[in-house]
Amino acid sequence: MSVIEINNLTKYYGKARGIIDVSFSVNEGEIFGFIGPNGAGKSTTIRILLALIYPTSGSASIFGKDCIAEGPEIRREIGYLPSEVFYYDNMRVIDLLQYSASFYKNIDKNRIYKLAEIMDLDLNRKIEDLSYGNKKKVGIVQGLLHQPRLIILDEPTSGLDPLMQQKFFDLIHEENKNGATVLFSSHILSEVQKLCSRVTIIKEGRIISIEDINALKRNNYKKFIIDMDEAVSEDYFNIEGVADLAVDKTTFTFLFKGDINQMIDKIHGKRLNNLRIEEPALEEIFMHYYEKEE
Amino acid sequence: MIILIYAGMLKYSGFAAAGQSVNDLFKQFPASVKAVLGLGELDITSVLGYYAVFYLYFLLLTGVHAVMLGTVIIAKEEHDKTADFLFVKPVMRSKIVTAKLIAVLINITILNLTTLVASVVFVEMFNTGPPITDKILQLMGSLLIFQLLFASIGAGIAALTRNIKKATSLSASVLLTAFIVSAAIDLYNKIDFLKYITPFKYFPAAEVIRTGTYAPLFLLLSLLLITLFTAITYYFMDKRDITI
Amino acid sequence: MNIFAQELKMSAISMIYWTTALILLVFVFMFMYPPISKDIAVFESILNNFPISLRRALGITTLDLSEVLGFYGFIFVYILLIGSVYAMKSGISVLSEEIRSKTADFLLVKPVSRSTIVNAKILSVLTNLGIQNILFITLSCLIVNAYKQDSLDAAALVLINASLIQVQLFFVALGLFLSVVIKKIKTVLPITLGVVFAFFVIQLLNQSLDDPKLAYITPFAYFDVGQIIQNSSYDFSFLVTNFVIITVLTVLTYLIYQRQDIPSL
Repeated sequence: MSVIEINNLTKYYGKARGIIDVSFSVNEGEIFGFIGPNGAGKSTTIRILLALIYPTSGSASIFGKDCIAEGPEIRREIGYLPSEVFYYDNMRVIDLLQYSASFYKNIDKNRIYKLAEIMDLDLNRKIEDLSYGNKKKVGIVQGLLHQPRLIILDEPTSGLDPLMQQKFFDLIHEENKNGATVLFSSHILSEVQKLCSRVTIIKEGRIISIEDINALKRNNYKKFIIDMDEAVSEDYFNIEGVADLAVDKTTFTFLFKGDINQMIDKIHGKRLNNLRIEEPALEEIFMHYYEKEE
Repeated sequence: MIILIYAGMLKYSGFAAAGQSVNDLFKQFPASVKAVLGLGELDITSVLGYYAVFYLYFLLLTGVHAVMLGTVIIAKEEHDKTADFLFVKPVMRSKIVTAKLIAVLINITILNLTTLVASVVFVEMFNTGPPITDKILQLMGSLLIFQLLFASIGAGIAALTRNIKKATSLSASVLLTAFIVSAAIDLYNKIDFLKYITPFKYFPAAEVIRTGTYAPLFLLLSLLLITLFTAITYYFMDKRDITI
Repeated sequence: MNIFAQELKMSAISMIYWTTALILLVFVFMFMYPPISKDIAVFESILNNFPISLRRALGITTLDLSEVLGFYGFIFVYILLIGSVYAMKSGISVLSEEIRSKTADFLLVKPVSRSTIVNAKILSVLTNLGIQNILFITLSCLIVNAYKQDSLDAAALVLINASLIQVQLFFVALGLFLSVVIKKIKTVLPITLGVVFAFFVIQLLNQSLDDPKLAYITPFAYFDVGQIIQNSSYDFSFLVTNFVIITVLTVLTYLIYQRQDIPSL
């Protein structure tokens, strides 16, 4: 069953492009990555899901209900963490969290304290005295305190130190294990690689591709780094299935997708200084995607 | 600004509609009553005297404009969180303050000139007596000093307070208080000594028109206050910690 | 209810501050009443001989400044001015607050509809105004009463005081409307002062020109104190005008806010 269902969603800000014809769906229980460079339309899509902005055309539904028409009901089950968090300056952290909790029914009050402890957050300080990273922690706690069935994260890790990032990821993993679906938007691919099972890539307002992350990494693409000991033409390795070919003097670097024996045949009989064949990082696959589209 | 000019235009269209009949009315006025009503020695039967009544409206509207402009322009960097952008640029803070104050000055002057031009044009349209452009110029001169005073007060307040909300509240209170005090003085002349604390009373239109000059004491006081508040602006902007 | 309580908590101090200012104003002005009334009494006979058209032009139509009620009516315009600034400030800031302090991403993703939010926020403004007016009317009636010489038209006094909240409602509605129409409101008070003073100057103009059309433009003219003292009632057509304007602006506010895109940070 899909938790989020987006159909041909388009949003223009006046004449400026927001997103064009975006469609994808997120299944229950998965952690779904939403990847794209800055300004690609990630936040626009998410803000429509939360009914903060209204689509120009198309529709989006969550839990089978329309995002705009049945927004309030849907949002009972959503936890949202924006990339930048702002709260009422003259409140204390605990006041804000309790205010946040007051919007939901059947809240487990202990959860605030439990989450605050995990995130190492001082509940008695005033919001305006908090550092950026600490405000972010407030955001995480208030986004998760009502045990949402759907967690929407919009570039959530900025401002968190690596230790906190790790704790945060652990937290998300645990929520996911307990049944929460996660939509995770980011431009940092290593995070997505760590967390997500499927990803969709958005660029200049349009969806380019939706992939299973394991499938993406597992098969096909191999990264070759070959240091030749004899001169070959620059085009020597440019056979079908090769992408992102870069030549630096005698070193050839490229991605290869296809029958591995073909490449072995090419190398066979040549003198090499060095040879490495690696699993490509997700970044490299995506760079490949981005460039292909241009 | 637009509302201000619109109100100005409205004034004059209203003036056009009713100016004549009001003039007739004022002719029947005994001097004693005029004194009570605070019209003083103003000859309200003339266009000049009638125009002088509008001077209060100019004071009110330009006062609001000046004090808010002065406050907002100094306080806004931290509010907009652009302070980190602007204050790390390789310029001295005092230069930034100077640039901002010049912007205020230009803005205020434009408003003043707009009022001046509108006044001259519209007054001449209805004027049947001798031209009064020189008197209008004088009144606009005192208006400009009044504007500068409130702009510097606004800037000073913004430099002294920590956030824009407090700054605008304080500036608004100062303006409202000054206006209410001036109204109270109009009503009850025994508290005349309070005129030193409200710029609304520094250059009364009647005085300016009658004497053709500004009262030296108040001119000095204005300049002193403008200097003081400008100095405060520079000093505290230089000292303050930038928080975002 | 939680939004309402939160809004009240955030605005209580400001309400107390402005209410104090209003009451202080009455107190200070009424303090000047005894000496002024003596001065004025001398001229009263002269003034009363004037043709009515002239007195209207001077804005003293039916106001007898030597009478405590007449004097109070005369200073009431400043009460209206201050009260209106407060009302408009509240109207503009209450809905734009979330966008100005960038907390929209917090409040608007909560499981509440936008109209619930508007309801709670408007209700908080109305509650503040209600408390303010109860305090103000009680205290100002007490103060005025302390200065009365013989009889006092209590009904007229209450009617004058009750016009405050009606003018305030006009400015609340206008403020709400402006706050959803103007895209980026950074600071509330400059707009507030500009608009309120523009209406105030129109009223001053209206007083000297007495143009019947002009009076409909500014709410300061809707509740003419002289007329209230004379008739012990409001002018019906202005009452209706005020009500219609408030209703239209409020409805528009709901409609526009309902469909508004919340700008990202």
